[in-house]
Amino acid sequence: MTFKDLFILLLGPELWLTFLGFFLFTLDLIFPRAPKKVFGLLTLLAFVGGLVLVAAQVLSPDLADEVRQAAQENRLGYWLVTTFSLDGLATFSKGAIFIGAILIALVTVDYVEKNLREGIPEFYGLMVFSVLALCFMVSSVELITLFLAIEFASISSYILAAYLRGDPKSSEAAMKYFLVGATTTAAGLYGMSLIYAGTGTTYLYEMTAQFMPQLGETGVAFSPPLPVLIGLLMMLATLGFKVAMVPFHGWCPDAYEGAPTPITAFLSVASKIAGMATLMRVFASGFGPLSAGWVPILAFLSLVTMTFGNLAALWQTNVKRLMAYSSISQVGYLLIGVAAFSPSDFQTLLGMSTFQGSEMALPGIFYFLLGYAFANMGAFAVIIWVENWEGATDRESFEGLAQRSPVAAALLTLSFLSLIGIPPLAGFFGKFFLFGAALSRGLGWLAIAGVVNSVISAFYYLEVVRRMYFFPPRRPERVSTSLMVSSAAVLGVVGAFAIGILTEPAYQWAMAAFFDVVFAPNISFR
Amino acid sequence: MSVGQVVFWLAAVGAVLGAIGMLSSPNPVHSALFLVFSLFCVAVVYLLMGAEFLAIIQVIVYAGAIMVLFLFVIMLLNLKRDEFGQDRLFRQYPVSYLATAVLGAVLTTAGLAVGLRFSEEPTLLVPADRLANLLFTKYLLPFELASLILLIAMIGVVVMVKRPRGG
Amino acid sequence: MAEEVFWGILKFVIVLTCVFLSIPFVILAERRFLGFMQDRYGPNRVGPGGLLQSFADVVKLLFKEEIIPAGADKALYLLAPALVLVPALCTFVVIPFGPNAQPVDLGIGVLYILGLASLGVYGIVLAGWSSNSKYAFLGALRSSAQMISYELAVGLAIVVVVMMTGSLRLGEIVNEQAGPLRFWWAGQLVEVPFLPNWLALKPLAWPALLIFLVGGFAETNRAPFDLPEAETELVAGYHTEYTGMKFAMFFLAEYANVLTVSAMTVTLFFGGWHGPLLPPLVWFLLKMSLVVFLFMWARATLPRIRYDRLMQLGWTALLPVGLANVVALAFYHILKVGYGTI
Repeated sequence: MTFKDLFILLLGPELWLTFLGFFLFTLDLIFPRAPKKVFGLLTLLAFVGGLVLVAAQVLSPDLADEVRQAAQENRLGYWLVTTFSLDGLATFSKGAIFIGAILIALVTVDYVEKNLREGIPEFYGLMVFSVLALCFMVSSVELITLFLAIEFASISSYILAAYLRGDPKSSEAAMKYFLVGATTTAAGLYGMSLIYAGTGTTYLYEMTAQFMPQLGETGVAFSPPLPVLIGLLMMLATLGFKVAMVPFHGWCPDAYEGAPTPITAFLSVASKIAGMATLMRVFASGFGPLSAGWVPILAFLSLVTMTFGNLAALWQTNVKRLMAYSSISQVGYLLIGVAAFSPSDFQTLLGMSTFQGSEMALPGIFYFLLGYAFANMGAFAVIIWVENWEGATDRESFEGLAQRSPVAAALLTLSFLSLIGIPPLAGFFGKFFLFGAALSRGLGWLAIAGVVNSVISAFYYLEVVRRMYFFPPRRPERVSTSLMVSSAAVLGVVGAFAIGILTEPAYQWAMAAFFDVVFAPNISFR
Repeated sequence: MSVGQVVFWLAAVGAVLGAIGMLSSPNPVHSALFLVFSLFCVAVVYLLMGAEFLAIIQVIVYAGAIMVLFLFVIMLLNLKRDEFGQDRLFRQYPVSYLATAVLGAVLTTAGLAVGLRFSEEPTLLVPADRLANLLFTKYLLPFELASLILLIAMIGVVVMVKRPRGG
Repeated sequence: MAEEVFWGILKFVIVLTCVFLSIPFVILAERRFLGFMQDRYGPNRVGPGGLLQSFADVVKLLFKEEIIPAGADKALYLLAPALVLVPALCTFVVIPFGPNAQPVDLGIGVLYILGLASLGVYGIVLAGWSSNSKYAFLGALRSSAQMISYELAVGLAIVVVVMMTGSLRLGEIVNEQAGPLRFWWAGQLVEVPFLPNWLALKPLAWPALLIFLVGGFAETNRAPFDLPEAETELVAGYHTEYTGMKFAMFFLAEYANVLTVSAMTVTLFFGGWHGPLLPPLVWFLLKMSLVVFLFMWARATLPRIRYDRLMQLGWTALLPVGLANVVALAFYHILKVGYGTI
């Protein structure tokens, strides 16, 4: 394979999205009268194409060898090796992001036609670019690249959140999102500078290499140098903001409520997957040897996050707001998986010791994320379904939905059941893996807290279900929608089912993603 | 003390005082000017480290361009003290002081743990062309990412401020 | 170390004194030129041919009453003239007046001048704002918008120069322009005898030269871009409320800026001190006075441009042309070194 082919294969999804993003921006300038639906379909095409390219990367048999060989022969650009990585973590999360993005594109077209008058091509272009930013985020293994990718993703999200220009709530959403984002990003940047001061490098795996000898063969954790630990915690502010972790969740309810609903879905699905993947990359993969320093903190934050999210969700009357708190609590569950990390996992990751099976939480996080993405997209598709008809997302709009559209009500119920964690849906197995990992790592209290929280969460999810089935409808007419929105809802729920029923293969896939590393975090690269 | 050390302390103390002045000044125009002063002092520190390119870029971009735009907007809005209305955040002041103190202590500890020391020789003597070489080889990807960020920020601003057609 | 500092300061003082002393004569020259072009005498009474006119003006200004307007922001009002004058004077320390007549040869000389120019705007803005007068304030607003807009175009013109000479160092930029005119054509170096190797003679730098000159006029707030002090609408613009020596400082700064832009134009585009027969300093001053004369000529000839036209010119003409010039130059470089080496 020549360098050019290799380059195109490695950066395929990113190049494709960049190309289509520019195409969308310029198409409107050249053909101002083109029907706006074309832009939506092109966006869908962009995401489907991205998924295909990721699949090509995963399936191409000798890509890993090619890359390794090219890197050894110095045929691969130095810049590519030290900033960009295409390991299992990156490909898996890119796949999940694209799946989420496809479903989001499906629900966007109708919403845009109903709610936006101006700037529609730019809306789609920004969507493509924000997915591009997420792709860079999960692939970057160098602090400067990582910071710029996070900033790229944040800025495009701010703009998208403010897109309903007549609606003050949309402006409020973007404003709060922006202020919290700017502050936490500044903190994270400062943290990165501290880490750089402490380690003398910005390349993540060179830092890992520095701490590895101290970790030693025994796998016993050691206490990290102070500036690095403080820097790491300050970076947690940025990443915590991206995934809406308490105490950096302040923007989340208002931004979710005020932003255009497809963007809310985007923030809660695609953006969250990328944020979690980056958090895992930095903490579990890059700073794995320092886990003694950050595991207790993340365990505590996990407890606070899920409890806060669930308790606050109990009082919500707007379903979009409810989904915001619900997604905060789901982050709490996911953080259990990160907290259940131990340095021996790290040695496993680097192939220094053999894999020990179900004890390991990281594949569980992937599995959970995939299930969460499907279930949450199913729920958001139905919310948009109702919102397009009713023009509102308060709880009352959903009353009697079972009579007005039995399919929508059933799909929303199933999505919620998966989010609660009822078998055989994906949410159950996801929680099973995470709580099990916590138990095996001596974090029993965290597992119990997770179970209790799941019970609490059932109240508010089922409250909406109760209103759909047992309340009389406000208006008699049926709630219909286009094929695109309904197919997105069906796909979301079917996905949640499929992953739940095919637990074993899906989990194997998640694990393989972690181990079949295409572009290994090879610490010998300098 | 050598000349470099004297200049360093002048610039460092100036930067901190400028930052404090920016926060405590009731007049927004004064705040902006204090910030300019602070940024300028930081540029002097860069210069002492031998990073002359970074220093002059700091002056051109921050002091020369961004802050002039800030000042322009502040003057255009022409904010007066009594137009801010009642300060409703006064209850948060003690909390913010406390948080600042804690953060300051933590960062100072971290900075000292790194092992700060005064170097007589400029340590970062990086000529502009070497910086450019790094930017176009090792850091090519972040460089391109930065250009994309600027592009979407620009598009975003145009989308936000464009008047609706016929409105 | 201490010795170095001493010599550095001494050079600085010498250059500043020369610049300071030349400004009164530049002012006089401008007034006489304007008089000539407008078919009148101009000042010719004080001293032989009016040579001492500017000094008489200074004496007059010294005895004027110092007025600080009511409601002015006193500290900033007093600070503003200094903020205008100091950056204007500081630029001269990096200008190469001759082979060994450059006080400091900074590695980033071009950017240093750009940086100081961008700081100069503060003095004008603050003068307008702190005067507590609407005319001064309008002048300040105009000035900040105008200078920010044209700084970009000027920056692009400088990028072109840096790309053609391969250095940010002013001394090297001048040295690159030594010798006969050279350029790459069809894969080989072509030399043109009898023509100097100035950037101003290379077609790829023509747009940059134009942008630099136009932008220089705008950055110095000189006619036809003197909107910040447009006397027909704003009395005297940002310095309406200033009297005496403080007004004189604004006046000095304006001419110091004119001299800077002229010196920069000569350094960047007209080969600096290079020239046959005559000593380098003479060549430099000769070229520089021609550019200064251009400033006066423009003031006598061109009407003041309207504000929206000014913005339009900056953003929709100069900036795109500058970008196109940079891109064209990049393609030329690819042709020169060949695609394969990239």
